[in-house]
Amino acid sequence: MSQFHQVFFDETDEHLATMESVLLGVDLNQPDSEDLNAIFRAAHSIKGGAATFGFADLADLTHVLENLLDKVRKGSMPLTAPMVDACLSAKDVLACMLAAHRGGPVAQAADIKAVEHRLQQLVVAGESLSAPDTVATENTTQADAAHHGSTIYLELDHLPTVDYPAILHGLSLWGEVSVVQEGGGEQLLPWVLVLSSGMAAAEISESLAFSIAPEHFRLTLDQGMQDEGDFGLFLSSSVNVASSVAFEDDGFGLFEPLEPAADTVTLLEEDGFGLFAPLPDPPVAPPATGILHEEDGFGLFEPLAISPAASSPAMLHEEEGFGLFLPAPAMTSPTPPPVAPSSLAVSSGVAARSERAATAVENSIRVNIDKVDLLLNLVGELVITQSMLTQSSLELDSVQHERLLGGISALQRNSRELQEAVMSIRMTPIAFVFNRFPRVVRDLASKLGKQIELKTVGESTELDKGFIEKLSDPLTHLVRNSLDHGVESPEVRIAKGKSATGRLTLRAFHQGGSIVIEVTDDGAGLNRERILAKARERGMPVSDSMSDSEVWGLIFEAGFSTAAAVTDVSGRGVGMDVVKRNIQSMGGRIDIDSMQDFGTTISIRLPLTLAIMDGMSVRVGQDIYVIPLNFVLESLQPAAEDLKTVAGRGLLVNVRGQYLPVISLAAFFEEMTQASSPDPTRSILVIVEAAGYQMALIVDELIGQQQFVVKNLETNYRKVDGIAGATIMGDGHVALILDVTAIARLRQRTSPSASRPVLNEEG
Amino acid sequence: MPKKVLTVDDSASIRQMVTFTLKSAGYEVVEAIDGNAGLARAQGDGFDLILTDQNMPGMDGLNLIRALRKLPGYGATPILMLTTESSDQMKSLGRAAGATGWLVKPFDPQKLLDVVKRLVG
Amino acid sequence: MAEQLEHHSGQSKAARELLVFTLGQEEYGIDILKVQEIRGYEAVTRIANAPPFIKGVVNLRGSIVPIVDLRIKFELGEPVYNAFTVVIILNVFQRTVGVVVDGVSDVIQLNEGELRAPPEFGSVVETTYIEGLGTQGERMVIIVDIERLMSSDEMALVDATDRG
Repeated sequence: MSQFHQVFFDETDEHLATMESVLLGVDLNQPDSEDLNAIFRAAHSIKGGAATFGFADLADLTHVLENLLDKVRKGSMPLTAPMVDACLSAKDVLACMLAAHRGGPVAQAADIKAVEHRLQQLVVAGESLSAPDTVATENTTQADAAHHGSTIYLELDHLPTVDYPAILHGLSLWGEVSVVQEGGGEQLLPWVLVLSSGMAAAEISESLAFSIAPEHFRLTLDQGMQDEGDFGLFLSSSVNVASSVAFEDDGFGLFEPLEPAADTVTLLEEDGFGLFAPLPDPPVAPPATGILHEEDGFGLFEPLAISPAASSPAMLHEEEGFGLFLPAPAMTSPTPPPVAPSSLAVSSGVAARSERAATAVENSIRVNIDKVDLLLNLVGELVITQSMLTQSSLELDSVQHERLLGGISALQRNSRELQEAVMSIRMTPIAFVFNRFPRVVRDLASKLGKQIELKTVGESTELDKGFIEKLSDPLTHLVRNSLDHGVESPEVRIAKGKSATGRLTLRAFHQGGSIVIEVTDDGAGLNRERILAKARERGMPVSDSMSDSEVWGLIFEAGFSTAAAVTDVSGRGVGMDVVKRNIQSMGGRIDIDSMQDFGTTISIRLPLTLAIMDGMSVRVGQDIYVIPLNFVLESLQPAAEDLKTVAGRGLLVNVRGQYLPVISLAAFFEEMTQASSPDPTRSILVIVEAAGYQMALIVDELIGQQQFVVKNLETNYRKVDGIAGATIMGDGHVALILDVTAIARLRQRTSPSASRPVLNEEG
Repeated sequence: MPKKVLTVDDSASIRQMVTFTLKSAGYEVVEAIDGNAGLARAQGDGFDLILTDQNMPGMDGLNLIRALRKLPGYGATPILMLTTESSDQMKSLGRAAGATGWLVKPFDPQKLLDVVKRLVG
Repeated sequence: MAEQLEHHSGQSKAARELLVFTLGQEEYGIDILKVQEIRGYEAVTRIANAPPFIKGVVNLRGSIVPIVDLRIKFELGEPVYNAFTVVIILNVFQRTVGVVVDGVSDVIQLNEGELRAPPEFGSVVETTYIEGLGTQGERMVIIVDIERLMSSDEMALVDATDRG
């Protein structure tokens, strides 16, 4: 059984996420019944699975939760804000329990008890306020049937033109009628009645046909029941208006062992089965497989171009997966008929969101992520091989080898396209990162006593799956920062003439070969003077002539915080520099733009792929290295007068007023890599920035700039300090990729006095 | 010829457990993730037995049963409701909709096997 | 010792198949199953701060493979790199590594009768890594546990923290 646990855990994750997002979005004044059902179903599903696989703690708590939700969705209790809170807390506890089953820390018993208690309290409180259940349930027993003749179950479709009270009245003349289920309502439920009567079922059927068309009702004759408690069989036969109509090939639908056909046969032995005579073929068309709504696509994302392959990121493990591939449209009639009453009739994003699991699964397959990575590797190889071919072909005469060169050029295009297509498999909508924020913002805003409206734009923008997890923490920190320090309290806002509710926007979009993620608030903005003052306080070299963006950049320095009071939310000053480092470690960059009292926008730019990066190849002595482009600011050939050796600081270069340390890679890679020329003016300086620190690397030659497939050195070797990985150049040789951050940090450690850019000339 | 079973349930883990259990015993199993899918599959293929969950998005179990009974060839096929409770209400609704019987969830694999065997051999 | 010889993966009764290479004055044999291929010595990309016997890495059909020169490691004089230099590509401890040797001889099959206890001396390779001695006629092949040797700390291929 434990082989199914992983799938159950993943499913439960999804259900919990659905529960939370629907709970956060539900309108308490006019709750959408689809929403209520969705929340209930999520809890119900978790309970079912938990009970089946033996997770009693989950099953028990979900049972209590489900109880509350069932009453709410049936209308016996209104949904209130305290209930939403309690349900959200329950969701948290369930998530805890789930984590515990996956190997995490055990959930606190006190928390569990507390939330259970709360839920139960709410049920009691709610019930005392609301009207009693309106659905009458009465049962006829076998004894009654015997007394009255026979027991007949009637199912009548709910139709607008039919007079149900009249039918009920008519039926009551023939016997005792009880209503098991009233028809109608939002779900267009059928009427279900039980009639115990002395009349023959066929007669009743024919009489009914006067009031309601035969294809809209079904009669089932109760011929007993085999009730074994947790399992049971109905022994019945179905009755038709035209019961003399020829039956299907499979006779009465008798199951093996076959018995001779008869009008009604009751098998009461061990293998008692319910018998149904097939109804005459009504012109029922297959219901619309319309879970997919054209306008909503998957109902989650804006209908931007979402590649189907990306819609379901590699979540599942792979199996035969039959049943998950449902080419539903192909299976049913070519022209789906109008939606049958019992199927979905919603177009709201929220309702469709609750169907997210179903729709996403229908149009996607689940693939083990190792397979995707393998595919990516192979494509990477192809790119390298193709690039080697291109390289070799450069020397060929273009006229003599026209076809070959044409082929190579086509190959280049093809491999690039293949590469992009395969990369896109790892691409996942950023919605997966953004999704946690409604909850975060809600909780935080309430904690801080501020009013915040969260807006997300471009949720469907895709980025590499590997970034999804890594982006979560830094983004959370930025959001917390905005809420804590950016957005002002309602009073302050009103005093400033702003709306009391602050606006926080998370926006994502593609730009060039990158994805840009912006966190924008309409709060107080950064205070330039405060930042400069703080910087001076900490002995950082600043000047009033620094541009705004340079000033904003200071907040990324380690230990920097201008928060007057350190709240437990943020402001301990350890955040921003870690955020910047995280972003850089993903190969990205982070920038700030701000205007006083207007707001602040923090932009994160990340490369669109993980394994391929833009780099600058350089020659140092005999060796070729690659510098990731996202660290490179510029390159230049220094003039002698710009170079200065300062005692205790080594060689510095003046770049537009700032003196940066000049680093020879030989310092790192002793005895080896050394720029050929001892004279720096004959070398090239590549200005890089990493770990909040700028420096100039001496190289002999700039070779080129291109995309590189990043290979792991540790696969067959070990981690080398200062080297981030390896890549294969066009000529087939291996080039090492510099770990600029490590070089910067080492430099800072070994010569801390040289680590600050100097603005003033010193002795 | 092995008996063909259709299992309709929106929970992948339950479906997998059912599939695994029945397949190991020699049945052929097809999965459907909800009522609509189940109905579609039933139209495309003949099944000897259909197991359906009740609470599913889109078309729920009862509606599926009603729709199945209207399909040619399914008038008499055993259809078992997989339900979390065995109230009289549920039994009435089930019978009226045309179910053959019910099996209460959670069930263990052995129970499932016993029941399926009784229904289709 | 006899137990150790018999211990090897069910091959004790049947023959052991070994690739034989020369290093210095001796012939060494390693489990053929650990050998992926044999190549010539191609331009290697140096790695900073690596010990001198690790020449660097090469591109082997897209994989980055480190190359260890056993002649340097075991101090067998000045190594020569020319068209005849041989590199044995090994698959050991889930990695691919290459070793430079003086030359590759052949593949031999040793049966139980041809296995002897390892020599006390005469090999540059430490006895810890030596499984035994193979004799075929006049020939004596030192059987090396190449996986153990390559994954040892002294080879500096594996980070101590990586060791599983």
